[in-house]
Amino acid sequence: MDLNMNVLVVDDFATMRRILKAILRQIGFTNITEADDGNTALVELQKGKVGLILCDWNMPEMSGLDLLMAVRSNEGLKDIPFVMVTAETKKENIIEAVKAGVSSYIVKPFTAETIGEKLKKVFDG
Amino acid sequence: MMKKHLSSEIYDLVDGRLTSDEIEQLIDLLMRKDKDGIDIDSEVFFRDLAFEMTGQVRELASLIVDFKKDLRSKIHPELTDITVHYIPQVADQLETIIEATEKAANKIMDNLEGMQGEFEKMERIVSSMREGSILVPARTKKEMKVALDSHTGKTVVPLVTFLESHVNNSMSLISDSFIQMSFQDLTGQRIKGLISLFGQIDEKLKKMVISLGIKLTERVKNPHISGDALQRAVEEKATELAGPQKEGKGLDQASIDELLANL
Repeated sequence: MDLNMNVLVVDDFATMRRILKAILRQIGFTNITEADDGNTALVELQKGKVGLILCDWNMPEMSGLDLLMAVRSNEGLKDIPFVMVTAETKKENIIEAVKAGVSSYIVKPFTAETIGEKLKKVFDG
Repeated sequence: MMKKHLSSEIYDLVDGRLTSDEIEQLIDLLMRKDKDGIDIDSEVFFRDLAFEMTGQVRELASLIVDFKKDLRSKIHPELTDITVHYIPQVADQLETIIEATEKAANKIMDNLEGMQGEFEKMERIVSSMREGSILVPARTKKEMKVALDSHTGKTVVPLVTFLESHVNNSMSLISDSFIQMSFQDLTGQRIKGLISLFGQIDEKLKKMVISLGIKLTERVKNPHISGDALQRAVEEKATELAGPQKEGKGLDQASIDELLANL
């Protein structure tokens, strides 16, 4: 896992973005970018430097699932690991996210250990 | 002639608290009873009626009068107070709670980020000591790396181990404190849900007030209106009130004033 990669944190709640950033910093990531909705995230992604996306499901305008589908259908972005960090625990939603190509699924509330373990699995298998 | 006499008797009995129109309606109602076999022309009937009016009927008439007089104070202000004052007040207070917790949460997280930054610096220094040198923080330049001689390097190992453990524990506590701050996300979303619920209740109450007003207005226009006709009137006028006004279709100011006056 390259700790110098740029991680994009997408959540409409500023508090949650800060929490995720703090945990990512503790893990060792130093380049963290934020977006408060799917559309802003797409703008960040177009800059071409993102190596990992941590995204909330429920967001106004463009949901996390919509962003996931947009990423997976874009030739230049489709291989970026996409981790859904959400309070959505309905089985059908998880299945939908998996079908859309989610790399991992972290349920809120989470711990720093969970985030660390899931990211390790995403990158190191 | 008989009707006029009856009207005068009723007027005296209710101490003038019924209008002539209301007395007229009451008499009409009694006249309709004639179909059921009551001899309204009989003087005995009127005496009995007058007698009864001094008791139960008089009380009932008073209740009707009081109710009609107090209708606005009994129904309108309470319902409109809920929709105009109480619900918006509660919504405002909940918004204030969200703002206050958000402000406090942000301040706490500012502090935590500051502490995290300080411990990250300490972590780099401790790591450098483990590798046989010390990163010395400088005010104007970047950190300087000062090599330790092998004896000092060995001597500080227990200190380095202690500091590493201390830094790791502190970082874990900071990280856990960050995670606990997610309460703000959770409560914020739940409170927003409550604000939305209050908005829906507010909307339903407004509809209730409008429905009540339309029913009262229609009932005054036509005291014999059926329940179905009343419901149709409510649906038609409520739609007119809710939708954009088309020329010649919507309620004009006078109609709205009339409606409001009946609330």
